[in-house]
Amino acid sequence: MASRAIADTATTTVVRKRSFSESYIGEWLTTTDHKKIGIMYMFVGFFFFLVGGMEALLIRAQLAEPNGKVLSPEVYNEIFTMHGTTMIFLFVIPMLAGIGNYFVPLMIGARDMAFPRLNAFGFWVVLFGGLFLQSSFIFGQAPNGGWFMYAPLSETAAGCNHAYTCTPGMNADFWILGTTMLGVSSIAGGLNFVVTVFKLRAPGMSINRMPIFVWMMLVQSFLLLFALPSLTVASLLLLLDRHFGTHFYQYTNGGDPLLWQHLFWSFGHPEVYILILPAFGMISEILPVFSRKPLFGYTFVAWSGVAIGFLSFTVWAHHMFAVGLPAVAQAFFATSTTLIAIPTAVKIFNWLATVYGGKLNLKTPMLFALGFVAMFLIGGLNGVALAVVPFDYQVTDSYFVVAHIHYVLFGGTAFAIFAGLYYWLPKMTGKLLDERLGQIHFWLILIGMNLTFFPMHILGLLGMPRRVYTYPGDLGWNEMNALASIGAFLIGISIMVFVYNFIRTLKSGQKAGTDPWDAFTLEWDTDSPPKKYNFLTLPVVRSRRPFFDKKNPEIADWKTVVH
Amino acid sequence: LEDSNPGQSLKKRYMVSQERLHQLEQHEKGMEDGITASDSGDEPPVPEERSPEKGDEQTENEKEEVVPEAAAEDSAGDESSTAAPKRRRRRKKVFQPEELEAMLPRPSLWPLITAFSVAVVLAGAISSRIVLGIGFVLILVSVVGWLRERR
Repeated sequence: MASRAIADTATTTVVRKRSFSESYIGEWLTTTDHKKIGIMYMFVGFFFFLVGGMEALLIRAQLAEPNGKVLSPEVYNEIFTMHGTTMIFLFVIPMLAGIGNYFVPLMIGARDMAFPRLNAFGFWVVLFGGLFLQSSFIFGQAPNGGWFMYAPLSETAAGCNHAYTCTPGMNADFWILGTTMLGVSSIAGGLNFVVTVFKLRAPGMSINRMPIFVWMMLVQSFLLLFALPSLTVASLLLLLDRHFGTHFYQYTNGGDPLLWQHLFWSFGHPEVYILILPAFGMISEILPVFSRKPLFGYTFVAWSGVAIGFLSFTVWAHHMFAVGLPAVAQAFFATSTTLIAIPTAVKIFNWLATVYGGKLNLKTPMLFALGFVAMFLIGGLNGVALAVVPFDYQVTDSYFVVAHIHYVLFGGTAFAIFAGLYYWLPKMTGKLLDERLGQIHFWLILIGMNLTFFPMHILGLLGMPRRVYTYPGDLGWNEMNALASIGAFLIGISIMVFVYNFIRTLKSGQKAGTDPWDAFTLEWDTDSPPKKYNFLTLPVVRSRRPFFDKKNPEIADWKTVVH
Repeated sequence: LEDSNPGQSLKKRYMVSQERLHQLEQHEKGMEDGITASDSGDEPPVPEERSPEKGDEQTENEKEEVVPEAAAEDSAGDESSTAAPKRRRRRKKVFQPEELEAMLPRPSLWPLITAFSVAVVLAGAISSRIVLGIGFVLILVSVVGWLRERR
């Protein structure tokens, strides 16, 4: 009897019930895999890019002609505030975090991030923080004080004693709490990147052999860790002012409104480099591959990023020249701002030297990378112009500044993100994006961008202030505003081309293989998409181009060049 | 290979001599043939016979690999070093894909729940104290759940 029971048991197939984490949805909700988390970051980032883009189109529709009536003044304030907040905190940072999450471990030959659950937590905080911020529209209380939320404008009526110049509703509270929450995510992410890069590099990958993208993510992570506490403190003080009767920023009660500006911009300017440094990293990966040359001046490119990181903490008050700083302070911040142009120029010259004499392959990633260099150069140069104090007095808070930030962050960071997506999506999806559609996307967005933002330089010089709801028709601003609006809609069309290309590629794209670009770095030495564990055996690195070495053992870098 | 002539051009400084290149190529060939390198990075690799005992000990999942010793340590900033990586014999297990997947962190719902709890606290901060209280309870539960979860 007993032996029969054993025999029955032996022949019975045991069907194990699938756990929640093995279902399709559950797999994504519970994942701790850096690649899946990276993809989710990118999807969320791109979703918010579309949201922020719609807000931008509403702004441009309102300003397309004088005395526009598309939006009410109150809604216009909410829309431009949320456009800036969304693009900076919910598009660029998550998108860069996503690309970094996916590729940093692959590039350094690691199997995952150092703290996978903290990584997942960081992503979910971004998602909920973003939804929290955007939900303010549902309650009719969207933030409306600009993405910088200047105090005392953002105080309650009791705080500034002038109800009509304050923010009595919950609008500013949404912004304060939402950005604080996003800051938690960024700090978690920054910590994770720092530990991952320092502790999980593959055998042989010394600091001086790391891909430049990894370098820049490392510097960016340090900037996040050191810059964000300033914003968090500033926000919490504002919250205390608004709800608990303190007077940190209230002039009438002995507080100092400039304290907000100092605290905010000591976060806000490193933030600009937080947004651009990973873009530098991506460009430094793409240009050499599509020029068929090693990166020129690797050491200078890497350490100039570190120099930018340090200097970024010394320039914040150039946003405040017009508040009446002492002359010594103005001289100091003008000098430090000009100084930061040097390491930035070092990068640009090295990129040009990389491309110079190369066998150029002008595929879409390369086009976006070259577009980045050109657009960022314009943004950088007018940034240096803004460091000249008398000139800054003339154009501060005008559309010239709007033009500058968009050449840097749209022509710069957004172009680099698109370059990175065209370059790395084949690795993530296993399929190549359509080249023709990619080129259409590039040319449309390049033309659209310059149509939108170049006229803003002229508008600024003609005296058009930023953040104005509308303008009369007799100031000579009409044509430039119309051009800018046409350009904005052209950018919108180009984004639709990209979305169509992406969906079409997922459905029926050409197979990419593991290494469609004949690239140099370790991420291309994996399957497309990579397995969960990334590498079956951890690679051994001997130079800055380990995958190039593997493919070309006879001319491997480690045989001919000492790193 | 240490550059003793400061007058040399940068290009020359970073190029490896033909003799050294030959040594490195021999070294590489030796590695491919399953021959381990000598302990001294400056000396040309010396073939070393594998002991029969060690060969017998190898299981299906294990194999001998040559791992640069320097790589195991942090060789940060050692840009001027021109010596080939110092090598030593190390037994390194080569894992099967299933083993690797099993070693990676297990999925967890707690990061999501914790993040949601933080969002509830923030929503409570600008809506009602009840929501705020629920948020704090959720945070407590999620943190405890996260800490208690088996890796």
